[in-house]
Amino acid sequence: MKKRGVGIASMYYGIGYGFNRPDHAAATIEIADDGSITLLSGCCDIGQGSDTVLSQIAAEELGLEYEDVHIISADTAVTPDAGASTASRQTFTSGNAVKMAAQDIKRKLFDHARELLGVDDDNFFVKNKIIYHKSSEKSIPISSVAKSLHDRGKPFLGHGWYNNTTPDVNPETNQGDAYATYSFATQVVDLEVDTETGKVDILEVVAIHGVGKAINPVLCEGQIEGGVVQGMGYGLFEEVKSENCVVVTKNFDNFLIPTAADIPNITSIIVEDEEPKGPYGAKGVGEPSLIPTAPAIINAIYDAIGVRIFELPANLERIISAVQSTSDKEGR
Amino acid sequence: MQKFHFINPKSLVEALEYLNQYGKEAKIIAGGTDLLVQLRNEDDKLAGVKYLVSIDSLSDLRQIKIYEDYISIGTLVNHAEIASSKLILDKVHFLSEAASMIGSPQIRNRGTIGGNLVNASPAADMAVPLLILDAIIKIESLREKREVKLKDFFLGQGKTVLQDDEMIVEIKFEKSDLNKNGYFIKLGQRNAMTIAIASIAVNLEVRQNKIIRIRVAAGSVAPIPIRLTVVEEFLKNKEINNKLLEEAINKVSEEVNPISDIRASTEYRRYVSGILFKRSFKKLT
Repeated sequence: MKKRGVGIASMYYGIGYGFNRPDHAAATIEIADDGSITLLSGCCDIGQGSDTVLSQIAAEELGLEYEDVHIISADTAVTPDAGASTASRQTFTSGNAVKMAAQDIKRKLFDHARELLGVDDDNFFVKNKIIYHKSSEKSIPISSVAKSLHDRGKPFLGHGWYNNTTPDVNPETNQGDAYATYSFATQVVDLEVDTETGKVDILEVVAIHGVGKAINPVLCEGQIEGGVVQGMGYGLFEEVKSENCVVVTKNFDNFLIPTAADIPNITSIIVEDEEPKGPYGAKGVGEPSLIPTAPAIINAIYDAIGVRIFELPANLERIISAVQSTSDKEGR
Repeated sequence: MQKFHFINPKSLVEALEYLNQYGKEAKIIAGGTDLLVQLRNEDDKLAGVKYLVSIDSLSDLRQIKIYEDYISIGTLVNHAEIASSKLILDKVHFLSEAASMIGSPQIRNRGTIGGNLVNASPAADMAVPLLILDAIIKIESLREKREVKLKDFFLGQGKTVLQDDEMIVEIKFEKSDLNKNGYFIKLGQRNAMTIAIASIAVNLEVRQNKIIRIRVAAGSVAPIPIRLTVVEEFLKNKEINNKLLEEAINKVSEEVNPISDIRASTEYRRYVSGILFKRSFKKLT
């Protein structure tokens, strides 16, 4: 028989290293004489899309198009250190560093625009590759200012360094605010349990994530969907087994992860509660996306068959032995 | 990666000549889905192998044919072809269904029915439905042509009756309407790319609620894919009722002979074999 169940799990998760561990990122931007920029960041894009997001931040801050940004990332020969792609930290930490680098070069552009436009104050803003002066309504293309910086031997580099190192908690009481910010999420899992074989079929997952600001909503959904699938693997399949201290699950034929045929429809809902310290309010979503999935699955299994699974993965055999031990108790 | 010479014969006779010449040093490669993994891992099974004899271009071996009283599947027919063959779907649908559950689309496009049998895995998905068809394996070498019943083909895990100079050319089974009332069920941990924890095939003929003929085979629950002859004998000529089915389920769990391995325990495999038998039996009655 198949029994259906729904489970919910919520989580919050610290962004960055926290606990006074050094957590910082640097970035450099050079503006060329055509107004395009080269962004150097030590942040490693491991598929999460940080190259895209950091380029978007630089373009947004400078009033440029995404296509105007040429990013060089994670090349230790040339890029400034940004720490690891870990701790769900890079959008927050490198994002801030890139934004600061863009602001630094923007100040240099404004300084020179004041001279070129013959205005007295810094009442500038950038939009569509043009620097506008508010009160005089004068304007000048960014590319013209950049060219002039190069022609006249003025600085055309911007630097950003963002320090996300937080105070430690109280060593006596363990109380305190360990992280700069936290991401929140709730996931709902709808599934069916085959009560005779123990097979779980996940029918749908709804994943609701407070990400601060989604700099790139499609990448954000990609992170959430990928995380849910990893969480499914953690909940149902993945298990490192060893015999006589030798790992025997050393290939993907027996260390199982979900296949396309196992993955249900995943509905991602992005909640934008902007974090004041984040770049444009952004936080992180990398790890949060997989944290609530396994507990939501386990709760849904409980809802379906009234059995609590206390050891992962909830594979066929564990579910059947839990069902049998429960019916044994009821039998007594 | 084990080093090898690759030989691409243009005819069956040429292929058999190479096997005759090189003996243990030669290995046939068809789809390569098992062999390439073994080569990469420098598997002990391939110790001393220096030549791969490809049969990929021998298109005569890649045909499904229907004769007056039997159906023949060439050794080189791949799983995707069996899964989508109108002829097989019409005459022995459960064989198509078994083929459609193997591995992934990539594996089904490369892996062949002959290779699935020769590899002699206890979990060989094609062996289980072929066992209830009483399939016959046609084997050739330069010396002789012979036929072996599938139930006598496997000697143990990874071992078959094939001699070093022999190869399978064809798998055949009786053409009968009785084959239509068959069912194959496979249980794995996930929905694709999954090696069976247990699999069961049942072929049933019932008249007036009485079992006239029953064939039951099981995979992944013994060193080789097996027929459950005790269960078959028990059920033959019996009236179908719930009590009989309950007893048969217990007999399935008793007759299978599984090990505990990385995928499941002996106990679970015994238990779930009975469940899979029950489901198959209910599908057919």
